[in-house]
Amino acid sequence: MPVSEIIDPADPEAETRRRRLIELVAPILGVVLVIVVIVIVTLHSYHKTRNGVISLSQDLLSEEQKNITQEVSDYLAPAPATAIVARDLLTDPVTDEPPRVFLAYGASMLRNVTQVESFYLADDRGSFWFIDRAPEAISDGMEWVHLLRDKNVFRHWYYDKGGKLVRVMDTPGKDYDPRQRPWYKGAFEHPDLNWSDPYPTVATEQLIVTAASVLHTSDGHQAVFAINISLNRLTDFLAAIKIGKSGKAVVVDKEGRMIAGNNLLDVARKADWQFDKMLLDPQTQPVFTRALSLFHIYGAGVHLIKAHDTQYVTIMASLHKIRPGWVLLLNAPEDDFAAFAAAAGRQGLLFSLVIVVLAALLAGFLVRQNRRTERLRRQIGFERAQVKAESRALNAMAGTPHLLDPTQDAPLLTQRLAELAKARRVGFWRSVGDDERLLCEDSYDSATEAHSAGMELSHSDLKNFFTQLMAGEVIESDHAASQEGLRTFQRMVMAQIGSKSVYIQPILARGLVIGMVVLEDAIRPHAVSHIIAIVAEVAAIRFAAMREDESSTAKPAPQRREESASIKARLSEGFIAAPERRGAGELASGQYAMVPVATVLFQDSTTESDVALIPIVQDLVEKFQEVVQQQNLFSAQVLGSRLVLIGGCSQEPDPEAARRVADALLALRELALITLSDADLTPNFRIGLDVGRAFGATLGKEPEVFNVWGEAPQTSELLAVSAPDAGTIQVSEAAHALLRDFYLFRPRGMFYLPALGITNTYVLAARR
Amino acid sequence: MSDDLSAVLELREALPVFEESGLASIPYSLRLMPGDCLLIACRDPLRATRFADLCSGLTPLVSGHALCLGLDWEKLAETRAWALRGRIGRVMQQGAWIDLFGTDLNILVQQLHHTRTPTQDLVDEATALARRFGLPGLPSLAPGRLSKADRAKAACVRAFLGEPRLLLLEDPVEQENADMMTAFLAELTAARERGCGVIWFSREPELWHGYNAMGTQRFRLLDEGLMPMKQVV
Repeated sequence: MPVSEIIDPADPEAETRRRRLIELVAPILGVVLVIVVIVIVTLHSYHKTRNGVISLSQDLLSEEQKNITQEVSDYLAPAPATAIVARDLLTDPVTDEPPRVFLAYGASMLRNVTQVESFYLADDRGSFWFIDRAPEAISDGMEWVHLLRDKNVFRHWYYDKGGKLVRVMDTPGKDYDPRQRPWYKGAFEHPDLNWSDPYPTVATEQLIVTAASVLHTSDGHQAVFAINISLNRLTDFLAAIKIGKSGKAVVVDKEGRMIAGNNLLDVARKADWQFDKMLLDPQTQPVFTRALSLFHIYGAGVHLIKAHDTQYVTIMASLHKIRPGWVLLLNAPEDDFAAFAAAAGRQGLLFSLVIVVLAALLAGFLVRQNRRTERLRRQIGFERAQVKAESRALNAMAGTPHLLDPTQDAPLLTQRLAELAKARRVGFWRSVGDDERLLCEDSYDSATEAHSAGMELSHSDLKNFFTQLMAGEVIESDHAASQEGLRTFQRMVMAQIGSKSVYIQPILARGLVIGMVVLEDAIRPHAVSHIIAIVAEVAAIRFAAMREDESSTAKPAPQRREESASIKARLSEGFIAAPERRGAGELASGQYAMVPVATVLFQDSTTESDVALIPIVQDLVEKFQEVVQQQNLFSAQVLGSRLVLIGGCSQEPDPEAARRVADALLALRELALITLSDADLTPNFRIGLDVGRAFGATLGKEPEVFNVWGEAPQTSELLAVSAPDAGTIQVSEAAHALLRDFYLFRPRGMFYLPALGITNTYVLAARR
Repeated sequence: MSDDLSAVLELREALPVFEESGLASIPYSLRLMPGDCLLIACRDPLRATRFADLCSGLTPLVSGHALCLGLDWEKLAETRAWALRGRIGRVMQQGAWIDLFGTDLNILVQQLHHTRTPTQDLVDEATALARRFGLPGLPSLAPGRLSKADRAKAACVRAFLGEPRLLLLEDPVEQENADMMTAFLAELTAARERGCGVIWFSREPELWHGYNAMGTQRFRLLDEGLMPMKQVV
């Protein structure tokens, strides 16, 4: 049984495997390491850059915040400044006469300070003057408004750019009393300057804030001077400020009501222009809402706020100095500042990946080169070993004494050829008997490391094959079973070991095919075709010499056989050829000295083959009977799966009887091989032949049976059981001594046989 | 096999460490070629076991070399050394049976561990061997429950299974189970034909009487070392 070891201790490659693994894994590990290092470096530099950028953008935003605070302050600054100036200028009593100073001062301010919408002047008697910009039709014009209390109308005077009165118009006064207005009342709460809450004018969609201060007129009355500033312009201003790419700014009061800034108009419209409802919307302005909450807790400062999965840098600053309770909120997405860092990081990573890919490619090349070198090295080693093996084989062949002498066996030839061609079996077949048969001279099975010989193929069975072979060309097939001409050969010969492919080199002598070299399942027959040819030539010389020997050797004494030809086989119960009785005295009971006994042992009779077995066995036995009768054997008996042949049973030594048995066995073997192969059955039978002592006696009564038992039958059975291969005939030393002049034998070796001790056995190959 | 010139087992002045081996600390030398058989008579079973350990590379050496199939035990990597021991069939003096498993598993475990041979093939081979050694089949009882004679046969089956390259047989056959001698010698001859080297230790050298196959040498293992023995035919 072939043993397949998991670890081959003798494998010289075992030590290099680890090195090869390192050669393969090290570059890959190197590339992985490079990738890891690049990723770490990239991440580290990204974080460093990002932190730096955020800190820088915070500084920037702080500066921006100061700037905006200044801008807002500047925006609202006209109010306190004007109030101070007005307090000094507007000392005249407020009457129905136009207050020239107020109007001139107001007009000048309106012309020069865009954020100022209008000016009010009212006193404690209910007088009310108002100046603002004229409608658009009168470009750069002024509008004076005076409340005529007695008529309960507002009189409007429109002046053009040059100060020329364009028209006068009255609108209903609707019992307007300036003293009831919040700006008027509020002015007395903070006489220096009072800021009103912003209030909307729905008509102009403006949010106005009024700053009012109290004046004392020369007639001893108290007047209120108010300046209206539009917050829309502040909103526009805030919108115009650029903070990063998409930064926003708003001004809110502490309750979160929007005063100016982004989305003011939307918020105002949503709140229906009611200031109390114009709150920051947590849905649309989550960053400002959270920033205001943070301002309530931490006061002014810079914070990072996350909303909608984006980081925002926010700055909160109090505008207390300008208008108590107002807060400036700024925000800008972190990405506006740090995006380039991420982009640079990504780019860096991309470049690194390119480097990694290149490194991986290089590593791949390195691995490939290593593998290639290794493969080439092995190839060279293999080739070298091959050349060495070839020259060793040739040397061994050349050094073999008597290589060309056919009387000396040369098992080396098949063995070396099997090694070189890595073939499962190599056989030499010789053409014998006027080229009508092929005899296996030597067959070497590399799996079992065993030689066998003796099989015969006859021309009649293998007509196509012989025709093909006689052409003298190399026959080659990967699937011999499916190739015409080789099919029968495959069934009869190759099926024994289950080989599929075959390479046949004809052996030629003087242009005639005198044999063949058969390589079964050879892996590399082409690489050693020259060696096969050389071996074929050697075989040719041996075979040619054998032919000459055979033709010159006279076949010994066939006349004795003729004598025994008169013996007739008889059939009786228990025998397929019953023991011959030539008179009662000849079959005396007792010990017989030289009984040739052969046992044919059929095995595997329990095979689960679907072939109808009985007709085949019937056919086989009928053919056997013919052979047995033809060879005039003493008896042939079928016992279960074995067939026992007895050549002769006489007190005197009878070498002829042994020859008869050997002839019968060769014929039987051929018959069995062909019949079983044709029936697609494995020809699994073994044959043992011995010549020796045995007891013979007629036993029983009606019918009487002549039985033979003892040493010779026992040994022949043992030889059959231990025959080396299916279809082989194993012969004992005693039988060999009798038959060696007439048959070809191959020694099998020394064996310990239980009955005989250590003895030599032989394999009967063929007739000489 | 026929042209394999490397020795199956070779001891070159191998000097075992006494503390570890218990063997007399003297250099041992021997050369066992494929198919050769060394019959070693040794009255002390423990000494035989220790010498077999030395041959299987289980004993550290002070100097010299112990080679199996041309491979130096000391230079061999551990896994390869284990695999090499898988090629050795051994009948142990102490039995070395694991009573937790059946005898069948005890017999198969070496081949199951070292080879990829299908279990069924192994079982078939073991059964055939067991039959040849005179057991009705592969014994499945625990080794402790087998009779002494059957256990000796099972030990031989275990040693011969898997076509070992070296057989170290410590008293495989004794007077009381001499009936298996025939089967044993038949297997031994077959193994030797295959190229297997054999070392057969015995306390009773008279058992070898009549065994004089070619390539057989006889020694005595004494405190003084391996001493050649005069052949008694």
